[in-house]
Amino acid sequence: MTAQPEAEAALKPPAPARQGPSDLTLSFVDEATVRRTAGAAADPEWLLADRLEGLRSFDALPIETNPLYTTYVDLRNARLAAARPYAGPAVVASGAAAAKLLPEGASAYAEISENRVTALVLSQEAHAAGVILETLADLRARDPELMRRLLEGGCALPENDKLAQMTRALWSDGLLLHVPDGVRLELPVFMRWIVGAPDTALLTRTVISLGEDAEISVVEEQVSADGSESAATDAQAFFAGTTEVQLGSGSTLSFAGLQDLSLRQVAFQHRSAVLGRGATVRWALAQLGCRVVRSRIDNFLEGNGSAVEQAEIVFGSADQLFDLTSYTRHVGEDTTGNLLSKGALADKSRVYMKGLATIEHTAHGTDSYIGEFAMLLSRQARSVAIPSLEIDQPDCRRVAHASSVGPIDESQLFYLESRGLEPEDARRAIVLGYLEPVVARVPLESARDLLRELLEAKWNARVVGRPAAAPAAVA
Amino acid sequence: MTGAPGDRRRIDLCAADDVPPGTMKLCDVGDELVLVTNLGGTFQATQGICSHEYFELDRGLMTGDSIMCTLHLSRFSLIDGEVIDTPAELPLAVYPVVVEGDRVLIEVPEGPLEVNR
Amino acid sequence: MATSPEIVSSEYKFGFHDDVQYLEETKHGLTRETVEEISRIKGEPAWMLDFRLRAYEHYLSRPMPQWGGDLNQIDLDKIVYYRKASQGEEKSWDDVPDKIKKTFERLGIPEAERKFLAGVGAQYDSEVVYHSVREELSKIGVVFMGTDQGLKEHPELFKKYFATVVPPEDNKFAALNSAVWSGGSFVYVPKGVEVPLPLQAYFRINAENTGQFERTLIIVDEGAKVHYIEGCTAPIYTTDALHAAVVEVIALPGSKVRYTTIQNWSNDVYNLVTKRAHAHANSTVEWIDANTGSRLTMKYPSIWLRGEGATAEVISVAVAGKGQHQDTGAKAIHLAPNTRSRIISKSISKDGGRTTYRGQLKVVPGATGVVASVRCDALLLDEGSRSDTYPYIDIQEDDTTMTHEATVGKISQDQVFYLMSRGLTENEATNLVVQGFLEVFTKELPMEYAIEFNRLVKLEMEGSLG
Repeated sequence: MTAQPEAEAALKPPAPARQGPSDLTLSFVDEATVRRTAGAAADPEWLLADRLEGLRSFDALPIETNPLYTTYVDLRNARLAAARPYAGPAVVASGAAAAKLLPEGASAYAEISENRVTALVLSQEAHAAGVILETLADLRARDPELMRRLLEGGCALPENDKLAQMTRALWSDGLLLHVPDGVRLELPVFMRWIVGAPDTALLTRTVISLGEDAEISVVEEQVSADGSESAATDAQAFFAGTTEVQLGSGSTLSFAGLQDLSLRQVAFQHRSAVLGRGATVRWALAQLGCRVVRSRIDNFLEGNGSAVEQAEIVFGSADQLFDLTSYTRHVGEDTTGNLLSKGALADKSRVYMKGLATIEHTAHGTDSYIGEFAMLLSRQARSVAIPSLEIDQPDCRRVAHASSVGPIDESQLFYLESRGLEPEDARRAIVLGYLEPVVARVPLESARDLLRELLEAKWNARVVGRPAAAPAAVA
Repeated sequence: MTGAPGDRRRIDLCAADDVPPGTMKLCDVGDELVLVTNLGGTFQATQGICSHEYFELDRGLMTGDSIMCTLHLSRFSLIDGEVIDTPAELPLAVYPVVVEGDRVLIEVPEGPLEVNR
Repeated sequence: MATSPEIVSSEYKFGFHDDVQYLEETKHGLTRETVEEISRIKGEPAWMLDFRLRAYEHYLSRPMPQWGGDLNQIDLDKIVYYRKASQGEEKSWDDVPDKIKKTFERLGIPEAERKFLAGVGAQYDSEVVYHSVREELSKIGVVFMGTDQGLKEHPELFKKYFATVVPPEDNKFAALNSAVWSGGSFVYVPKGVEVPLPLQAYFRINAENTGQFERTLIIVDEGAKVHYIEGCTAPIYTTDALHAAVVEVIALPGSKVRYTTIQNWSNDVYNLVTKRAHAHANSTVEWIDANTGSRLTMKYPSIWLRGEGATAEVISVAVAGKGQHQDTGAKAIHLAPNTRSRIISKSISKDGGRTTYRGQLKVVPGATGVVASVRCDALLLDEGSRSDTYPYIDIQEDDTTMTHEATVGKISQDQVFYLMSRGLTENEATNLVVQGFLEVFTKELPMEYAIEFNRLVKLEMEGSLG
């Protein structure tokens, strides 16, 4: 009888360790991997030291430092224990600079597939104007001092963010886009990431620096290598990317980001913009894919008269989780912040919209607006909105925020149906119309069209109808 | 025939009549507490204390097949103990129920009762 | 250490009996023995002593909260946790600070009231009013008495509801209150009874009612209706540094409860209050709340909408002047279908004062058909003032209709100039604009309170209240 329990114990696999909502399952964030990454790229001393500093911060920080948000972290759908990072810098394919790779209507194009750069090409005009689009590895070879200035100290990456510090420690490669003083390009720069090989982790940094009075628009697309068809239960892939923007005085950046990774993927994105006097940044961001995506945007309105226009849309389905945080800091005078988040949530998807505008004492004449809106399309969808303000300077032009959550507007539905639309078509029209504000801001026509297609495909793919019997009311 | 699975024991909790459908009862098991609930005739048993912070779950609100701890509004499924609503992070331990005659029992491994906190 | 207690029964002028118990003040700081002593002096049943002790243990185990206001200055060891009743107190009118005396004058507080409010007089004429009010109320079965008395005279009712809305584990100061509570009101309104006049805690004031750890329990039975008012605009002069109160309201199906608070603690008091209501089916609960005093107030009136068709309303006003921090807000938790909530918060910061709004709106799965709205507006009157807003909006049903709006700004100069061109001084104009800003609140107050409140705000604006 005593032999039996032992045998049984041996046969039974150990119960999987329970993952709590704040548990990060990545298993490679350690010194050995940092050194390996630095070694593979033959990093200079300062860079290795910088990476190790990032690792130290990562180890010391909790996953969420802001007490406002600690209850709203849920990483349980991220199962990344088997993910392995790309160690070395991206390999640039021969022929990546071929002119024929430049898409119609773009002034530059970079395409990165896993960690291979398959396209990296500038138009004649962009090249002649002195615009630079290159990998960080190439930057190091060409101008190591500049690279150091741009990256050392984690630069614009938030010091209090565990995941940003992880990217600081373990990035394997990235891109630099530099636009010299006074250069204004009409056609956008197009960047495309094709990622998602199972059990891989890609950590990259994109640095964008605009000289004084420069003006440029960028379209960044993140898509899956295997399309959106893979099942959510397959092995996951991890993508961590930063967009670090420095805007010289009077410069303008319009940035459209389309994220449509597969449901097997987990993405952490950090975007930050430091604005000089009179500079403007326009973010238009669409989050469609991933099982779990955690996005953080930091806008520093340091220069007088600087402005940020930010619009984010989310279209959720299945059991996707979108964790969107945005910090806007008004420091200079007469700055403007207009932030809008809109989510359409179907099936069991969830969005957390956490926007905080801080108006410091020096920020006279601020105009700040935060809007967080959600349209819930099914019983099990969930929206959490926390539009917050911290105001230390009463002399403002306008400070307001608004939030609303609701179902599809019945009166709008009725109107469209009375015009002859089928109920399903009417609903689709309303939802896509709700999300259109961001679509309209994408500065490249082909990308706009693509986004509209992706949204429509998502609408068609979602689960229609409500689950059976509602739970009884609380006693 | 392997006999009794592992070394397990049965613990008597309460009378079936003590827990009519749609209600719950907190029962003492040595140092621990077990929450017995009756979901439309089927008995479920979970740990009796919230996995988030110490609070007796019978002071919570039962809705359908979930229980909400009224201290911080965490919700758990009464069937598999999983967290439906944060801030709780750990699920409730669930114990297999056995009904013998008119008594409700749980059948658990020997040793201390498994509880998540 | 305590001297032996004397139990003295005193008969008031109007035949109103009360057992007043004397006790030397417990020594500073809180120990288990203090808790036991409090319970023993009050002659409480075993379950209450047990409750207090468990709460005390929990209080010890909780760290001081680091969010919200700055609580690190409170010296919990210096506080006296139980005070004797006011009779025989030897305080003199001369000890009362000048600015408090001046405030009484400017607010038009009658002479007799002034001494009382300053903790100087023990007997107070409002006992007369209270007495006749009690007679009227008992005719219709309404219970309105001190919480200590409620425990003695209505033990089953008390035990059924006590701590069911705010458990001691809720937060550190609820645990503290649960351990050392004393004073507060116990109200029970029977089925179908509409109480014709507002119940004013003011009538019942003896030193304990404005005590540091008052605990109020209000139970309104099915279909009944009551308005309870607490506090007053006059500053409460007290040497107590900490006021940690708990208010529990149970609105049974079909009932209607309005709870109005006007509080103006003096500027060295920490005012930490947990107020929560359970609104059952088709009931209505309204919190009408004004916070103008204290060094730090942390108070978030909450309503849990537990039954279908319940309605919640919170209208709150906070004014923070020099050295003050009003950290307030509201919570509406929708736990049942077809429930409605409306939250309006107005705050004013001046002279470096700081206001924070913390709100929570939650709709859980199963709570279909919810309509909710939140409006929070903040007025910053000058540089150095500060305002923060942190609303949490958590919606888990797809047919919820929820809107939230907030604005922050300074007084419109146009409005002020216009009024000045009509002959008002700048001060008067500013005051008028502020009154307009607060109107949504003041119009909910009974007339005499509204008048006093407007006067209070005016004084605050003029900066003449320290």
